[in-house]
This record gives sequence, C-alpha cells and structure tokens, in this order.
Amino acid sequence: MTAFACANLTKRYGSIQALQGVTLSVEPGVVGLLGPNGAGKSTLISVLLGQTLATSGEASVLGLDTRRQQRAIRRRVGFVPENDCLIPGLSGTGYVYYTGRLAGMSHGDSMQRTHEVLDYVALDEARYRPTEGYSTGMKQRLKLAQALVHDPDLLFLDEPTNGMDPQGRQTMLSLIADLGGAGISVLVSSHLLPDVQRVCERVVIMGGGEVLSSGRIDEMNKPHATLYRVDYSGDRIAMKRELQQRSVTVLDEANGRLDVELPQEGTQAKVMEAARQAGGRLSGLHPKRSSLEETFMAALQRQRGS
Amino acid sequence: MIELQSLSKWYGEVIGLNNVTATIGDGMTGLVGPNGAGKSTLMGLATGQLLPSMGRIRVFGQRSWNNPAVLSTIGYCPEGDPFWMNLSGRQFVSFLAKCSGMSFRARRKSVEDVIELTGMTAHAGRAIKGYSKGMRQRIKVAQALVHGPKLLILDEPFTGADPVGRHELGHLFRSLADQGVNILISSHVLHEVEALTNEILMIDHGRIVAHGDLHSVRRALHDRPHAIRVRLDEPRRLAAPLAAVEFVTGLKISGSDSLLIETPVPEQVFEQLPDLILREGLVVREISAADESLEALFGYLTQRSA
Amino acid sequence: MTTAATTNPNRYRRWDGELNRGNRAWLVIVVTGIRLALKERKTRTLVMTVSGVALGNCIILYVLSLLELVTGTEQGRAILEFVRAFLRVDISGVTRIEEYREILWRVLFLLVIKVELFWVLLTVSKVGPGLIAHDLRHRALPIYFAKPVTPLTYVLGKWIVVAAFVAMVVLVPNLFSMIVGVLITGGLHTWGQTLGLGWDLLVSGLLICVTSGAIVLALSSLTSDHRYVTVGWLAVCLLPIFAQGILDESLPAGSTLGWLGCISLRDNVMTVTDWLFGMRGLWEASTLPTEAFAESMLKPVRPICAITVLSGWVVCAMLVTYWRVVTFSRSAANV
Repeated sequence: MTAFACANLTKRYGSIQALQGVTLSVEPGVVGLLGPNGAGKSTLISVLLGQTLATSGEASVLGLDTRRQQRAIRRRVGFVPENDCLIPGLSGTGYVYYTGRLAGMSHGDSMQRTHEVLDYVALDEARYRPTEGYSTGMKQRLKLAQALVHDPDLLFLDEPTNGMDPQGRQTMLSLIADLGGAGISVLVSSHLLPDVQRVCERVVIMGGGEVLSSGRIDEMNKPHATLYRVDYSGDRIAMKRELQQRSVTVLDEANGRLDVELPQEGTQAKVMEAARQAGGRLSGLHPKRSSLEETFMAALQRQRGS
Repeated sequence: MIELQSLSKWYGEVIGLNNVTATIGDGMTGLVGPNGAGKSTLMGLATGQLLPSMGRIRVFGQRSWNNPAVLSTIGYCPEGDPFWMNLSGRQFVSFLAKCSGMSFRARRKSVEDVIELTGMTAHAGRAIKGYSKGMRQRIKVAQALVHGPKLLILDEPFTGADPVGRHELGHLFRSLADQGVNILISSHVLHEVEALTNEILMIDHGRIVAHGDLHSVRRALHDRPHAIRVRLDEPRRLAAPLAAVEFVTGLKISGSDSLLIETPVPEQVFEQLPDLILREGLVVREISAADESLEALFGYLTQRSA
Repeated sequence: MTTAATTNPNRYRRWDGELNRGNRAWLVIVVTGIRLALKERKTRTLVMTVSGVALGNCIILYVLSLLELVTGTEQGRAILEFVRAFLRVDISGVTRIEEYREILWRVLFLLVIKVELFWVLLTVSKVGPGLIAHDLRHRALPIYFAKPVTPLTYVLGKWIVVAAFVAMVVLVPNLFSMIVGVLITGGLHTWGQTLGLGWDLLVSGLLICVTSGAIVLALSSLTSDHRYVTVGWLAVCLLPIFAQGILDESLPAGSTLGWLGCISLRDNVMTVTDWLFGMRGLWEASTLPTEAFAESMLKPVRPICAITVLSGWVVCAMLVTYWRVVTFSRSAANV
C-alpha cells in the first residue's frame, strides 16, 4: 500500500509546464517534499487533492484515483495550506468544528473531535477566542487541528514551519513526528531543510516540474566511514605528527578543527591514541555526512548540468 | 558599532525593549529570540525609525534618530513587504538609491551591481507584484546594499526564500562580512544563524538574555551540566568505567548505540575519554558536545515558565 | 490483586467514527453563514425592525376587517366617506367591502413589499458582501476544497445564506401578516379566498431571495474586499432608479426612456410581482373606478421581458460566481 503514487503526471498552465512527467511512488510515513520555487510542489499537492486536474498521466492517493474518486480521497486526507485560511468571526473551536462538519462528521462527533485535536495541538483557552488575534504559531496549530479533525490517513502540509519562531517550530515538528508515529502519513513541503531533516524519513526532491531524487534521508546522508572532523585543542603540530605516524591523513585544518581520513573503517582508535600521545584534548569526533542541503544542491546542479 | 545605553521602548503599555545596555561589536551578529521579543524594535531603533522611550542608542557613535549622516551608512532590509507593487525591481532599487542621495551616474552602476549581486538580473525588469517571496527578499537585500552601507540591518531576510535562495543569500552575507561590512541579522532558523556567525545577541521579553560568542555563552551557563554524546556499538561497556569518573554527573543510554554523558566540566571528561575508550578497546563512531548548538542554548535561555 | 491502570498522555488518538456519506456540506455552510451574520448587531437590528412593517400590515388588515364588520351600516358609510375623501377616489358605488377584500389585500401587500425592498437592500448589503470576499481575502477556499466539498455545494450554501436573510425580511413577515389577517378576518372561511394570494406572496418572496442572492454573491466573488461589494450592490440597486428619476425630471412628459426600467433590478422585480398578483385583471374585473391612484398602481406590465431580464441576471451572476470559485480553488495552490 502506497501513500500516493503518480505515473508520468504532467500539468500545463497555458505555456507553463508545471509538472513534466512525474513518476513517483511514496510509501507511508513522514515524507519531505523539497524543491526551489516553481519546482511544481504546490501543483503536485493540488493534483493529489483533486483540486487541479492533471493534463495527462495518472495519480492515486491511498489507492484511490485522483480523477474519479476525488471525494473519497478528500474524506481520507487532510491539508494544511500555507496561507492563513481563517474564517473571520469564528473562534478556534468554531473553526475546527465547522471543518469537521464540512468533512461530513455529525454534530456530536465533530464537537468531540474538535476538542480532542485542539488539546492535541495544545491550543488551550485561546480556542474560544476569535482566530483573528492568533499568533503565527497558533494559526499554524489551528490549521493542523483543522486538517486532523476527521482523522485523515494522509496529511499534506505546505510550509508548516514558515515564519514561526524556534519554539513554535519545535512544537510543530514534534507534532508531525508524533503523527507519523500514530500511523498517519505526512507529506511536508518545506524550504527549511533542517526541519525536514529532523522529522522526515524520506524526501522527494523536485526541480523544474520533475522528480530529481527521492529516497530515505538516512541513506542519502549516510555518515562517511573514513572521513572525520576532529575537534582538538592543544599542540597542533604534535597532533598532526602523531596522526601521520598512524597513517591517518590530515586533509584540512581550520581553527581548532582537523579534517582527517582514516586508513580504513573502524580505526577511530588511532585518532584517540594520537590525541593521547600529543597530550591535548580531543573534544569532538564527527563523521562527515552530507547534509540535506548538500544533497539538495547537488541534485539541482545535476539537473542544470544535464 | 551599535551602543545601547539603558535603552527602552514601549508602545503604550506594550513592551518593545526594556532597559537594555549592550555594545554590538563589528562584524556579523546574529539577533535571535522568540516572536515579540523585541528584535524588530531594536532594528527600528537602530535605523532611526523609532525614537527610544528612554535611554540612548548610538550607531557609529552618533544617534540615529533624525540623523541623515548616520542613516546613509545603514542599509536596512525590513521584514514585511513594503513595496510599490507596480514598480519593477530595478525601478524600486533605483528609486531608493535616489532617496539615499546618490548621483545619477553612481546610481546607474550601483543599481546594476547590487541586482547582479543578489541574482536578480533576469527578473529586474518585471513588476514586483509578480515576484515570489524569495525574489522579494532578494530585491529587498539589493535595495539595502545599493548605497554601499557600512552597516547592514537585516530583519528575517531568509523568510519565505527557497533553499537555493537561502544558500545564495547566506553566501552573499558572508562575503559582505569578509569585505568589512558590519551586519546585524535576525532569523528564526537557528541553524542558518549559526552557519553565518558565532556572535549572538539573544533577546526575550525585551531584554538581553545572552550576548557574545556562542561558546562563551554556553560556558557562562554554569548551572546547566554539559552533555557529551558518544556513538558506539556497546554503550554500556563505556558507561561502566565512566560512572567511576569524578566529574560525570549523569549517564544516559539511548537506543543501542548512543551514550549521553552529563558533566559540569566537559574538559575533564574529554581528557579522560580517549583513555577509557582505548582501554576497553571500543570503536567509537562519534563524539560531540550535544548542547553547544545555538538551538540548545536558545531552548535553555528562552524557556517560558508555563 | 492488580487493577488496570490507564494513562492518558497527550498523544495523537485515532478516531474510528463514520463520516457522513451524503453531501450535506451545503447545510453546514448555510447554518454557519447565518450564525456568523447574526453575530452582527446591525444585521440583527435590521431583521428585528422589519417586524414593525409586518405589525403595521397587520393593523391595516385589522382595520379592514373592522370595516367589513360595519359595512352597510350608517357608521360604515361614514367611514367609507372618510376614506373616499382621504384617497380622493370615487368609491360611491362601493357598499360591501368584503367583495373587494382580495383586491384590497393585494394592493396592501404590494405596497408592503415595496417597503420591504428597502430592508432587502440594507440586509443584503450587510450579509452578502463578505460571504465569498472574506474567503478570497483569507485564502480560505483550499480549506473547503480539501474537504469533500464541491464548488457547486459551496456556491449553493453561500447563496442560501443570502436567500435566508432576504426571506427573513420579506417572506416571513408577509406570510405571518397574511396568516394573522386570515385569522382576524373571519377565520378559516377566509382561507379559501386568499389562498391564491398566499401562493403569490411565496413565489414573489422567493423571486426576491433568488435574484438578490445571486447578484450579491457574484459581486462578492469578484473582489476580496467586501467594501467594494457593498458599494457595487448599492449601485446595482439604486443607480437605475436615480437615473430614471433624473431622466423623468429632465425629459418632457411622455417620452420616458423605458430601457432603464428594463435593467433596473427593483423595477423588474416589481413588474413580475405586479404580474403575479394579477392586479390589472382583478382591477378591471372589479367595479372600482379607475382613478389616478389606480393608474399609478397599474403601469403597463410586460412580464416576459422582466422575467427574461431577471433570469438573465441570475444566470450570469451564478456563472460568474461559479467560475470565480473554481478558478480560485485551482489557482490558490499555485500562488
């Protein structure tokens, strides 16, 4: 069972080719959707929600066809748009209750669920106040509650942490991680790569309407087996000498840091021995791993090159 | 560069900044804090848009309020979207250059330069209302640079930009700083601030909670034990001898490959760690200070008593 | 002995309830729309004050029923004499008022509807403008269309909100005073005679609901600023009337321009209502003399033209609304 899948999906707006042949199959779980502006992320989400019809190609969400089973899909997905999306005059409770009713819940169910999801996103007394006075973080959490009220199996989040302060982002990210744990698939479209790296198991990188790369984050950012960065304070020259004696190559050094290459896997002990011999203090040993940003930039570069 | 002396700013009863005294030195300084902490107020005061309620603010030794001489050396990139939407990017930058009192010839060269620098050459002829958020940020930065300021004040310049935009803007700011431009930059994305500079000004509730180099700030937090994370296959084998070390106040084994050491004096532990590891014959994949990141500090210092 | 303990950490909990399969979203939109509009004090006041019109209507009906009681007596003749002097209508031939009950009621209700149109103007300008404009402004459409709501359901729901408020200021007071009138004028016996009028009131009320709803909704979907919609609505309603008035003044008598009346919303609605009420036929069938007062009530009725114009308005308005909502729901994701 896939969360969603597309086969050769294209979408054209006039002369603009927003999607060109997207073929993708995404397993359930928390998935990051990355790409520069104009990469086609929003169009993809819009097609998956059945709000936009694709020009050609097939797409299915939770095994349902996006052309013919739109309403069935929308009963089982939740969407948190990037914009405010509030309805003036409604309180937080009223807003979530309303969206619950729109999804087809009965009065009682909707009321119960409203308070349940508002508890979940930690909107306390504020839920009875008009939403116009909410802060950015509260609005984001309210929008998340709105998307969760009918207990979807798949959640689309468009820039859920944009413009939020660090605490707000922290809260939002832990909510997303928890949802993944509860068995809800989440597609997070975001420009904030550190946030995606923190919560997502998989990423899809898009650019120019195509899928450039997709896969598990931990596989993309596997720590390097032999390349290490060493934080060392003490006699630098002695340290380098000791390292070289143990056939550890020093690649680069910059204020208090040494980039080294071990002779083979599993020989980190050589660095410790060197540090002990050199008599300084080893305060960090970090395997080199490519950050999501590097992976992302590399994917874009490959596209531009080709 | 910027001196604050018992500086306060209130908006009616609402606090902006409260009795702040500090000297922001040359180079690049990251301004961080939760929403409503007073970041934009500080920037408004520095750029002479706001008059202090009490106290003084000096930029390059002079007051900034109603002082064109100082203001012409400041470049300001505001947070919002203060555009004339129908102007093209080039007209917008050129108009603001004219406002800074630049001559026609100087302007013509400088406008093209900053547009080039911010990567907007291809879009400079289009009206701003058609710009994406990332382009708007770039044109705002271009506008702040056009008159060759000695001090750049950047309020959330990354918000809304895509990863490519963030990367390129970050690169631009670093190279400007290398050329000797002083920069005060605020951002909610702490990773990005950390990648730009180690010099931090953290404010919360209108007061300064931390100011200075990241590592010295961390060291100044005496009451917080430091955390050292060690990744290895059999964490218990390392935990046992560590428990006997005097300065270790806590040991936490999480998962099958991670050991977290708590200590008030990390230096002592770092000195002993290689010995212990070598004695046990363990293969260690990573050693790192777990809470020296800006993110961890931010969490410690801005925790609200809920 | 062990007891089962439960802990309830604030983790996400799944919900195993059933979603309603049928499409009842329009009803939810209607109910919420009405609730939100009634939160406005001015809207509540408007809906309340229209009951004053209904009350006046009832009082006149009561007076008519009293007249019917005294008709034929000396006292009745005196009253009729007074009415004649007052209206300057020669009704010397009239002796039994109940014969003219239906025509009098129809004249009365026609006048009341004209008065109530003023309330329609104000109420719709309070309730209607924000309905879609606010959703456009706050970009709330993706919220609707990420739920099992179709654009048609959405537009229908919003339309009914306006229609409901128009019904509150036209249909409800009219039907209410109609029932009161029947009850105080000889009870159920009168019911048969006035049943036709009841139907006509219902149909004309619905006509007003549908047209005003469609037009204000179309205006509301065209902009994200509800103030423009208010101005637009007032312009659509009032400008043709003002223009007609000015032209009537400035042009020599007898050469009035008919085409302005053709596009005026109010004139067309009144034309159709006149035609529905069948005033001319009734009047001619009666023995009442055709005087100046009556002439003013009996403008030439061209119902086909008016109905065509009105349905044209409504169809265009609905198409515009639907088109705007559909394009916005698609483009909102791409901004």
